[in-house]
Amino acid sequence: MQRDQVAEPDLVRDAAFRDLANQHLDASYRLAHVILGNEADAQDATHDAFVQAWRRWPTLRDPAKFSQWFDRILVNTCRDRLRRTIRWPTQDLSANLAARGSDPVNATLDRDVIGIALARLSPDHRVVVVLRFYRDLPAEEIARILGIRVGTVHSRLHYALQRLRAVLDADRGTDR
Amino acid sequence: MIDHELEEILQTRFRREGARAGAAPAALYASVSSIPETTPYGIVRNPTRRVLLLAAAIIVTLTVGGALAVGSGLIRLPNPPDFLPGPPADELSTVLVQPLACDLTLDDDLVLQMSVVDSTGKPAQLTVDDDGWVIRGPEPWLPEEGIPWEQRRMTTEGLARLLADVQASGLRDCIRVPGPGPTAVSARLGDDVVVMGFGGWWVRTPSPAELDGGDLLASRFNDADLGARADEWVDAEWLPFEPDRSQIILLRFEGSVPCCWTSGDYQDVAWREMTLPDGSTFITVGATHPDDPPPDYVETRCHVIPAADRDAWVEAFGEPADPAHFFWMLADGSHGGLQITMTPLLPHDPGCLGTPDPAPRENLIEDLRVCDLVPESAGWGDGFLLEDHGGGWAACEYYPPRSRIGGWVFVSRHPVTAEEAPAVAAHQFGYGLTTDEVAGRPVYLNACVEPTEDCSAGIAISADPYFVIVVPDRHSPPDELRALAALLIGSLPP
Repeated sequence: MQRDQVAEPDLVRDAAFRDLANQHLDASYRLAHVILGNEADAQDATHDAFVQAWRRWPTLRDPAKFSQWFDRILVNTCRDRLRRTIRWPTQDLSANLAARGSDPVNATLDRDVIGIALARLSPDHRVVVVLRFYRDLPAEEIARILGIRVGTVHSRLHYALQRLRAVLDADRGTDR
Repeated sequence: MIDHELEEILQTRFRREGARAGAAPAALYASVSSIPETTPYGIVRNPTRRVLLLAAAIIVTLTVGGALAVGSGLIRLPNPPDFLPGPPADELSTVLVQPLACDLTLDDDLVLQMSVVDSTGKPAQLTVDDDGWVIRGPEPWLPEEGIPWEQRRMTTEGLARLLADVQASGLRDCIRVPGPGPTAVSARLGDDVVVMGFGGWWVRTPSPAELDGGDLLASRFNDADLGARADEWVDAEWLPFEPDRSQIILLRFEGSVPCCWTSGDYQDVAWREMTLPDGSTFITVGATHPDDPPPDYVETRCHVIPAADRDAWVEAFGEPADPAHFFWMLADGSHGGLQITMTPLLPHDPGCLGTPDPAPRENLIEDLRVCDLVPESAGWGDGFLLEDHGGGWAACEYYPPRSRIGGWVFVSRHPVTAEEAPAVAAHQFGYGLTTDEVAGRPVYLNACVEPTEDCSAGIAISADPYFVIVVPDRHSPPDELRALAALLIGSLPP
């Protein structure tokens, strides 16, 4: 089906949108949840992104590329939401101190030090980290989604990981 | 901590997060399914002022010309502080602070340059030269995606009216106004360059006059034809623009692949033995770029080629890692490798120039230990110096190691006297700031102290010669800000 069939009946167009939305809704919601870190924001962002997609529907030239096209809208929506969320969530970790074990990876995860560190990343850095390590996307695909240069993806990853590493190292230092 | 351990932590954490999210709730399915009935098709309505105020903040990356494709040159602001553009030069010529997220320069041949975001959220740019040529297109260049650059010439009268509107907006000195619009606009007004933007207002509250100026320009800049009338164009329509030169940037590393990549990302070739179309090698091609290479790389080289030679170079580089972005990654086992980016140059862009050093400044405050300013009793934890922050401010980000508060501290590297402090504070915090006194020092609170505000509370401290801005990372009522200021005042050098 080609989007240049402008004269297609509205019902067909609506159904095509709904089909694609239903196909991608779960994965999109999960991506938004991982980027934003909570259910309410993830629902809002996913809904807002589909509203944007509907309004921009005429610009989608090839529905086969919906996934890539929509990911870009969703990620930008999440990023914008992060940018205006200026009060980062934190978590009282004191109750979880007993969870420390001999496995540093699981101990770190159990205390969600990484969650706090992620929340402190800039929106741009956080989005790149999520796309790389949650979606497992190569840098060039991240660049395409975000509309930035591959070199910029690389730089953002470098600085983001540097910061995450610093926080985790500091946390482990305080554990000793 | 070693990289693979951090990657494992991230992957595990994200997998858990995704699993915890599960399927989208039924209510979300229902609301998305109803969009075709409830939302106008293909229409973006004009936002209300409230929506404007809530609109997405877009952080500016004002790399005028977007010259370098790679490296730390593009990462000038790792975190929020795009609110610190420096005091207005006309009011504070003696305290001229290099803007942080805002470069008050414009390439010689240009009268206007805009960074915009297109309908899918992708960055694009638009330049206007002094002959009226307007060139617009995606940034980066995406010819393989069929998104062209275009050009169109504006009449002298049209150009004059465009600049007159910029002048009439009253927006200057990197002031940002909320709402959708270009992320950054630089314009030449006589001998001055003015810079303004939309979104990204964080701790600064715009005045009603600034909002009006923003509205005036938004109506122009949100228009595909810059709000110019038909008779203000020499060309009846937009024409294709084909760059006549391309710039090649090579980043070289030795040993194993740098952070965030794997050897599988690279094409395994004996690149050191390859000969390039001009007879050079990857080691000798072009010239060393004057900017330092980014971390993990040993050298950046740069070379400009005519468009006619582009295909030969593309062929020489082999299979691209990313054809759309003209990007290659070559490695020779564990013996080092290259990342290569080819980008077109706009007519005004000479290419291969490094980021100019900021003009030498005198009387800077040295040895600003900005990460020592928040005493331990504040519970902010360890400070993390933002070494790539640049500009006229020293910046430190404090991470909360436990459930305690953290935030940012910025100190002007330029001495700010008590007389100058109100104007500096006004420029940083914008409209509606409150003047107060803590421990005998003037302090300034921004207008973002209510938890319902979509901006962040901040307090500025004047302690001649120091000017310090403190921004907690969560809502902080005025009393808490004042208490924080008192702690910092006690930490400042005498």
